[in-house]
Amino acid sequence: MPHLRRNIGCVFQDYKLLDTKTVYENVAFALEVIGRPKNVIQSQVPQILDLVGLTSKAKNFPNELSGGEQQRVSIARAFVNRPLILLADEPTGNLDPATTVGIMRLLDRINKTGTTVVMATHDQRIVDAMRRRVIELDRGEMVRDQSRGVYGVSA
Amino acid sequence: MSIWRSPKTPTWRVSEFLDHDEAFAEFGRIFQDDPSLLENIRPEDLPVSFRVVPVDPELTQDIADRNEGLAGVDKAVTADEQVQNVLNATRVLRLGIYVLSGALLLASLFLIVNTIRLATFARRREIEVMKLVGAGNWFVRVPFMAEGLVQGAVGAGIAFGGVYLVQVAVFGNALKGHRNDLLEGFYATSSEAILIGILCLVIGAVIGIVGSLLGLRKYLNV
Repeated sequence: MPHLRRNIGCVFQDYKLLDTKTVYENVAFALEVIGRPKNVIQSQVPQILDLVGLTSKAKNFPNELSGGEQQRVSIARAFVNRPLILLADEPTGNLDPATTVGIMRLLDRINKTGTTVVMATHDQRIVDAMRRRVIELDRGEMVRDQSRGVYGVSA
Repeated sequence: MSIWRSPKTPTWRVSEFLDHDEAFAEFGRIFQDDPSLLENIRPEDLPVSFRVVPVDPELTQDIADRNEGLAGVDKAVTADEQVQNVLNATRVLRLGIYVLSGALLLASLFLIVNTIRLATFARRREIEVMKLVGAGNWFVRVPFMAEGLVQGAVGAGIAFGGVYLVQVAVFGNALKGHRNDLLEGFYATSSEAILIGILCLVIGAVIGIVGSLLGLRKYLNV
């Protein structure tokens, strides 16, 4: 099971960062735990931090960052292993609209590198803005699967 | 005069030999409050005696019986009742110590399990993230096992060190020169002591590791 988890990146609404580690260390953690050697960590982490736009904050701690920045760290950690799938559970739930847009753009960039992004959300605006494949769940059952969908509340 | 001796291994040793004069002197010491007895006794009236100490107290009666009928031996006397009492007392003591040790071992196991549970609870966020990111179960376990091992080994070390200090204080100073056969069982050679010390450390470490693994069980499912 842990080996399967290594191919899936997870991002949560509450970020789930380690408060006692810096941004750099949080992202590096994902590599350490898998047993990647130091040189790999040292080359990959800065790259990812650059992708999410947090290079200048590498030495900060999570409590020194804004919500959007913390989410970027989570995304960086989830993506650093180049997983096949990125699961995001309400990633923009705690963020204001402007920051939300930034996060969605980042997820789009990640998607363009070939990683499948599966996102669960209640935010109508970003679903409508992205117009991607939408799967609608109602009471645990899949009721709609649309390739360029909008949010829509089915009756 | 011949005395029966076990052919192969010494089952007893002679601790004292009293000839007539020495027996007379001891007689005088025992009955010093009653000088009238001394006046009527001459050294030649008192028998020569061998004081004999068995290697194993259990053999006392056996040795006495074998020596009883030998030529030149008038009587073999044992302090039978006292010997039995001492034997019983040591047996009870030994049993009691076993039971006590077992109980203490269990208590320390429980304590270590509890401590590790507390530590696990305190670090549950980290563990959750570790598992999310794909850490294997053993990767999560190892730091806690190390903590348990240290606790167990240090505890054992302190216990062993404490006993050693007591031994030095009691048998080294207070009872110096009073070493007699009654307390023989409490003494250990240094090689025995080292062996016991290592055994203590090993048992402590094992208890520590087992305790930590038991304490982790509830938390490894994320």
